[in-house]
Amino acid sequence: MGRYSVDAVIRLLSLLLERPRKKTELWRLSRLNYNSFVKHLNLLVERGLVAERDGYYTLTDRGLREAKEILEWLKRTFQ
Amino acid sequence: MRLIYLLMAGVVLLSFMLAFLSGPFAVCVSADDAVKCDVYGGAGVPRHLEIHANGSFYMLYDGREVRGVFRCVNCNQSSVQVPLDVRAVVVVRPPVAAEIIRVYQLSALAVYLLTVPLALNVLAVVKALQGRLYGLYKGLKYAVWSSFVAIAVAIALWPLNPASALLLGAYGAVMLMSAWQVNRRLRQWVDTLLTR
Repeated sequence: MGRYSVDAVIRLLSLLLERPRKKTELWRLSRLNYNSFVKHLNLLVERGLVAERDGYYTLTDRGLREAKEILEWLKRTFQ
Repeated sequence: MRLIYLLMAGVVLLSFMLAFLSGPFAVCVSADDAVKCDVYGGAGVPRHLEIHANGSFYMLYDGREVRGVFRCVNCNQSSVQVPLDVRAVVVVRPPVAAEIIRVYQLSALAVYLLTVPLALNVLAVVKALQGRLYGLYKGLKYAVWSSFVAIAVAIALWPLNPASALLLGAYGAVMLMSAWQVNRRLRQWVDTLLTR
């Protein structure tokens, strides 16, 4: 695993937590440059957190569980 | 303490400090028979003011020169009461004038930098209340930046108002420790997530 940005990872998980998205839509909403976007998306796919299904990128069961756990923890910390 | 309460307390504290400290501010130098001041502040504040020992004054107001008799209780060179709602008059005597004046000028201007942590705090609260994962993360980052700026402004404000600077610095330090800890825990979590 090379260097990665926590910001980019959280950004992608947050967008996919809302709903599955096509690659171009995900890239546009992530506001990352294309190389960084592809690098981080591939990393999430390699780690089994995100999968591609019928042209849509979606969180796997593990990805969904982990993203929700982070969200709930951050909410508890903040609110 | 929950970060949101800390951030909201910060908004109240910073707003109060901004209102308290951002009044007109004069940096003055004692001359032979007068105290000469450069005044800092918003619109409608004279930029230059000279108060003479005999009670007369001269000032530049909106580019116009005004002369008149200065009515005050205690008119002398070292102890001046200015009837212009000037918050503080710092009398600096030569020969150390140049250096000290620069410090006080910077402090007077640093007051306006309080709007930066204030804006960052408000942004952090708004982002946190949205409840989205990325919003909460951004809120956390704003909180860290806000505390850094608060500490920097506190250092700059020290010569002007040590009590306010101490309060602001303490708030910045508490906020920084809290937000930094949460940020570090989040980084570790993401690390584990991507290496497991």
